[in-house]
Amino acid sequence: MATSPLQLLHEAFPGRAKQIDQILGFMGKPWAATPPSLLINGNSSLGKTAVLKATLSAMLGGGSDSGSSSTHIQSEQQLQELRRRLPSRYAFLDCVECHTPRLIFEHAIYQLRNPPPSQDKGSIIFPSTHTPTAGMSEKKEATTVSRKRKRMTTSPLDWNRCENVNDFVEWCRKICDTKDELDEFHETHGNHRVVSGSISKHQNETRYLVLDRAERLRDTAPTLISVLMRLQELTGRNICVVLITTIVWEKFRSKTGGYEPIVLNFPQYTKSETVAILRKDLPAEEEEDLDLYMRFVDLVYDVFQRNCKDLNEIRHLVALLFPLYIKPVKEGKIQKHEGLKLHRHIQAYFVEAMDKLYLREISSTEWSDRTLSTASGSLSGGSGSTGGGAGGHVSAAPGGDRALTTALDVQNVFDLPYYTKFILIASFLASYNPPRLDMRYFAKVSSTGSKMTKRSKVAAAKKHGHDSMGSKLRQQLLGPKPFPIERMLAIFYSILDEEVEENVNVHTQIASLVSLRMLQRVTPMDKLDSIKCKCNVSYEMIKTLAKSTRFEIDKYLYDFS
Amino acid sequence: MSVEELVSLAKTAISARLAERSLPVALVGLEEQYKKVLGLMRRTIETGESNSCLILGPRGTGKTMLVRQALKDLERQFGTSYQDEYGEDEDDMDVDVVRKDFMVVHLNGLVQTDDRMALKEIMRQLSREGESELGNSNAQYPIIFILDEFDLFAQHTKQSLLYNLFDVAQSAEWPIAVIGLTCRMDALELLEKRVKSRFSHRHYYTFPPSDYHDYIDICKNALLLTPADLEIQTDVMMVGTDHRTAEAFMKEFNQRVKTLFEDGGFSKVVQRIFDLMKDVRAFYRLCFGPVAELSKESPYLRASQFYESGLQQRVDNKTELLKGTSLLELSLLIAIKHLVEREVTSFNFEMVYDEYKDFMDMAVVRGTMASSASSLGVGSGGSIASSDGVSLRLYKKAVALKAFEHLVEAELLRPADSFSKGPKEYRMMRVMLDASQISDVVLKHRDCPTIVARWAARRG
Repeated sequence: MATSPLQLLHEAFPGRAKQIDQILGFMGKPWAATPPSLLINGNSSLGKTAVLKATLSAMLGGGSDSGSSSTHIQSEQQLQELRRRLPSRYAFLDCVECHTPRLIFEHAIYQLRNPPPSQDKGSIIFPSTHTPTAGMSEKKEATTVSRKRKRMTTSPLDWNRCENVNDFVEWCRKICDTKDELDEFHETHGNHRVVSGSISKHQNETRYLVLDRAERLRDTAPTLISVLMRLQELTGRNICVVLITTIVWEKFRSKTGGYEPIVLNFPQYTKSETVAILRKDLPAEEEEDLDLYMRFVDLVYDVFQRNCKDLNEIRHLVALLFPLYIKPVKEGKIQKHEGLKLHRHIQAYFVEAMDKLYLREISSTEWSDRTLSTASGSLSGGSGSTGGGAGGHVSAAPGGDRALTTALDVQNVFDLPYYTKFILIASFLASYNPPRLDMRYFAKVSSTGSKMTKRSKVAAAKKHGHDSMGSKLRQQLLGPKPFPIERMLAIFYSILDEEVEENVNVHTQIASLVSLRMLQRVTPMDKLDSIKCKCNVSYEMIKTLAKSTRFEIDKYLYDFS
Repeated sequence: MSVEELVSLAKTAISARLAERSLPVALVGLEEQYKKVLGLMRRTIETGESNSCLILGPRGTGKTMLVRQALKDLERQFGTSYQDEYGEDEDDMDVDVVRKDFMVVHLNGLVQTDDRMALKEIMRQLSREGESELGNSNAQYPIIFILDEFDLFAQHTKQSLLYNLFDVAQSAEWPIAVIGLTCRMDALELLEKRVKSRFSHRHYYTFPPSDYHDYIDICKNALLLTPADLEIQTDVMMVGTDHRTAEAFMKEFNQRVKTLFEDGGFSKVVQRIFDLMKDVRAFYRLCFGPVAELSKESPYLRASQFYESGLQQRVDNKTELLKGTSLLELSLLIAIKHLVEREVTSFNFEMVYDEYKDFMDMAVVRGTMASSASSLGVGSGGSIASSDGVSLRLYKKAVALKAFEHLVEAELLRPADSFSKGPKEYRMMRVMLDASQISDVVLKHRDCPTIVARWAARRG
């Protein structure tokens, strides 16, 4: 059969065939004994959640409405139908969502007592299931929640309270013991002949409890892990707990020890697997550009794979950059086969994307909007000189740069009153300079000769700092130190050339800086005397501030590089 | 019966044993303890003598199994309403006996986390058992209390549950046996004085198999098939072709298992587990994979399967996870390694970045001088970075911070002090890896440029 569920799964997840087979092997026949617990680990975006979800739903959730139903034998069809209608055999929980034991228990019970979430035909296809954990899945979660709510009001089974482990274990037994048509189905049909024998009288189908992002469980309830690990023993029923996590099992072990799960590791994708996954991302309407797309994917992989192992990030990059790549082709400026030209055209964008790797300062739609609009302007100028090679390269870059840097500028544009800037600079100095050097830096000395010595002293200090082993312990790297407000004020008056008479205003400014979180108060709020603060602002920001006030901050900083 | 059915029967039976849902065929090395525990329970049932005891032993040495086995045997002897909480098979036994002479209450310290819950659970189990008989309610039924994870019960406030149970046991009001199971050797010390004085101070110990042969026996027992597993009736009446094929299959299967244990590579795997931890469960874990793979095509266990699954369970998963780190993350880790070697054990992002920057500055200078870009394996597509001389590039702080956070998320780094406020670049961290582990990763990393590898190997 060309479209058995297994083959569909294998096709949907390139490079995961072995893992799928392993999981299916552990699951065995629906009523077979399973290992008490499994732990699936692997780095993020290796398809752990997607594979497990798809496998479970294909095997136990009535599967997808594959067009192959006609080829199924009738009993098979009937089985699928039953699966869709009867209480689900698995519960899929996210430990971020279920952050207390009670939520875990109640969600699990609810899911196990209701039919599995309906699967539309498309859901097994890769892109929709293999969503980035942060972005798109939220939307999906929202829809499932709303669906849940709807069902809650209509379905006769309402939400059950379950507050402690004891009740939960009892519920599990109850759920596993309810014999429904599915179990009878197995018995009446030949395929269950075995169990209708004496092996076990109430061996119903195995239930699965899947906990995604299980590392959170450790904060939720430390003892819960050991309970879950031996849930099978505690309930005495066919129930299998699967944990999905990005960290290693060693981090889960409790002090007293307990049952250890079977560890299943998801390895990194190889190049061909990654390319196969990305192949599925090509929107159907651009199918005629497949050749070009594959060439592009190859390029992106080669450029980025060393520094970006996250598949979702690569997919994001491909989705962002592909429109740019084919734009000149669509406009007829470059022919499809001119690979080198296209390559040169996209290079500038690659450099830029590399700088912004993982950051996602702006949303992807915004990014593509902006780059497309600016690129069309700059490219028309640049494409004229593409013959010149380097010329085209350079002129294309600034256009894109502008698009990307605007988001960053917010920080630099942020403006403060004149005196406040100096207060901030003074507190930065107070936070990073050792107090013993205040005399040297800020004592009002007018002669130029002494300035020279000061500078040379600083240089000497710098050199010294670098030679010693402890150069990594200099204040610049250690972070801001708390300082008494009086010291900062002294520095403030020293670096400011003019006289400030209103002391009160200065203090309001300090208060407003604290509320802006640029200064951080370390002494408790009820203590009014000898307040201490820390400067929370980065060196880069102080540098721009100093530039805007024409203050040479580097002269006053000790041991900075 | 077809081979397929036989295989699926064998699979079910063996995996049930591996998952500890059904009891092993024989007790190995626990005969003495078993006799004593059984005797104790029997006296409670037969003569109404109250008793209490503790079974102590490391995890996975068969405490629970021992008690379950004893209960099963008692049940066979006396008949009971003891509905096996374990759902195990009651093979050929007829459980419909009306007569029942004792009741069993199972408690687990992990589940019943306080006395109220425990009482509720006792009530539930007793009332369920009581319902099913309803007959003469005057008779005193002996009750056997099994307290799994006994040490956790000792942590309940005032230990009132234990106090009352032991008190009943001591005052001979009602025949009960209290059997505590724990892996804490000092469990007795946890008891309050008044509780301790009511305890009989009987304890039995279970130990992991001391002898390699015992260990092998236990392992072998789990894998060998028995007639019951394949539903081979021992009745002489039922002999048929089915019977014969089943028996032949069993013989062949068991023969294969025996040769398996003689296999050199396989024994090495088992010996290693035995030397490391003597834990039977570690072997069981190893077996799940190969057993799950049994099919019509390969109905017998093969040694090669065990090599693979032995390797799979043995790999250092941390190194495995680290293989998936990007070059930037790897560079940061190497920088951390250098910091740690200089005895800077707690560090923050700024320090690491500084170290990383130092290296990159040096590498770029050297790269442009020696024009050794070729050694860096700049691919055809990687030439975009040619402006920097090498495909290695110094990442901006923001990108590096993201990578650093990823390391924290993977818990390779841990905050050195409990939550500290302030910018995250300056939060102090500690590394959760050895220097050797880091070097290992660099060696195993798929595409690590030679410069970086050399940097990692350099000391100080």
